Amino acid sequence: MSSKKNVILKGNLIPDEVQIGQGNVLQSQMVLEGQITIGNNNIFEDRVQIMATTGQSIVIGDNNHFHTGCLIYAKSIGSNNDFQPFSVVKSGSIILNNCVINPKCTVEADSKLDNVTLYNNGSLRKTSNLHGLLHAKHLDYLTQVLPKYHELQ
Amino acid sequence: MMELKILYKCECGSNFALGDLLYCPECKMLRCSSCISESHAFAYCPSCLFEVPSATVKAEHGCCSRNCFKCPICISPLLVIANSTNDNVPVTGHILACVYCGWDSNEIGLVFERPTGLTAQIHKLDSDRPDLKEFEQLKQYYDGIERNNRSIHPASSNSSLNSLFASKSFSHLGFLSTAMKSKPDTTIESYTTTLTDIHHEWDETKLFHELNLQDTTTIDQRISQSIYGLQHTKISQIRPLRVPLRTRKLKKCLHCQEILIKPEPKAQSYSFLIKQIASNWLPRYVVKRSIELPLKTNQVYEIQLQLFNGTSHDMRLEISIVDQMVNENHIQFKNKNVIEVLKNQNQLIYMDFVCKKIEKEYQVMNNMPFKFSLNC
Repeated sequence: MSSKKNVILKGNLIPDEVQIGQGNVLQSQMVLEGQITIGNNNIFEDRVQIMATTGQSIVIGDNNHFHTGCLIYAKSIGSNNDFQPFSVVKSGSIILNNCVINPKCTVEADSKLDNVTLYNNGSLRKTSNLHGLLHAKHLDYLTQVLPKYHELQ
Repeated sequence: MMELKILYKCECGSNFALGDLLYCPECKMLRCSSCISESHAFAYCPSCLFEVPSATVKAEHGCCSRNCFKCPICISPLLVIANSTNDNVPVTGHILACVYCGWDSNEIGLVFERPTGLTAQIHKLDSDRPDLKEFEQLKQYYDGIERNNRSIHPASSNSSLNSLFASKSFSHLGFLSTAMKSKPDTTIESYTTTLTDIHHEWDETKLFHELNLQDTTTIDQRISQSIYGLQHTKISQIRPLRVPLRTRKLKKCLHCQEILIKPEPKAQSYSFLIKQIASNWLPRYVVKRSIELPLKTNQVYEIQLQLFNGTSHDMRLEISIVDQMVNENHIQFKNKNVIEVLKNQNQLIYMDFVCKKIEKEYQVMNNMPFKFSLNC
């Protein structure tokens, strides 16, 4: 179902240090800095900033969804995570799998989250079983529709 | 520069801003919040915006009886969605899910057969609860006794005044009628319960070892479950919260019962059928140039007011300055001036006065040593 080719919209400056896997969708005005390794089938929406601090690298897994405006300074991110609009993940954090960071919420520095939903900027609860069911459909839709209306890089 | 406030005097003597006052066209008087009576016009659900008839409000304990629920974890509105984890698997039922924190009713094992009438489906869960059955039986038993007493002694009705005079503290004063003086039969047979398993033996040690702080409800969450008559200690058991109804108010003049504010009987709209607000009848005053503190004696001060007639009719105003305040009700005016202001027009007023006497060294913002009155 998911395309193997990456869909990268025009307007993204991707440095050479960044390695991107297959089947990803990168929308416009993204900021990528430092040594970043991105896995497969991720969705990056507009104005996502992923910045690695000097001397460190960021590793991102598969099937993640980065919504508009989220700031990622984490150490590593696993798979099937959902970063809602304008969420912030501070440096040194490790986000494992199946996490949901709600809009405008901040993950504090050097924290470790696994299978939790962060809401209300501090409250945590176990991620619902209904999370991530539509990711493959969403990815498929974007890979088909975005090239029709935007220029690709 | 001191900021002047323009206040309007209500008939009761208190001063309010123009936006806080209503006008009674029958009494031809301003009415403040103390001079009006409020009642409920209609009740509606803030979630689905459906109007609820008053009989249903009482039956449903003031909550929405449709599919409106709030998340017990984060109090955000819940959605009714199909309970399927995969597209290929057919829909087995419907659940309530929270978009904000991810809670869904699968966590408490609550799956609904139909997407409508969820409140009734939740009520069915409580049909076998022994404490609710016991409460219903108690109510029926004592209702029957009260009905019997009423049929035997019709004079001792439910009137609160009669029951007050029938009490021990007043009975010696002789207010009771002869019919009421005969005491009703107070021997009531006690209710015998049909419950068998009432006493629970608590094993504190076992409870302590089973305690899981992550799964324990907070005090607020337990209080919110009181609508179901429950106080679960575990998060895996708490139910979705029902949405309490809201009402729109009807305001009447206390003196003549004229309706001053009547909202439109539609929850979606914020318009009014009757809106007798003071700003529709009185001009609005805006201070254009204020005065400087502290006031000095024998110095002329000028206040510049802008008078705006925002009503739909022309006005003729008589403006005068308080010369002498004999008492609160007897005020002498001097320098009366009459001006005419057409509808939707502005008029500037210049008022000069001489400060004759300063009563206090330190003047509080709202407590001025002088007053001037504008009569319309």
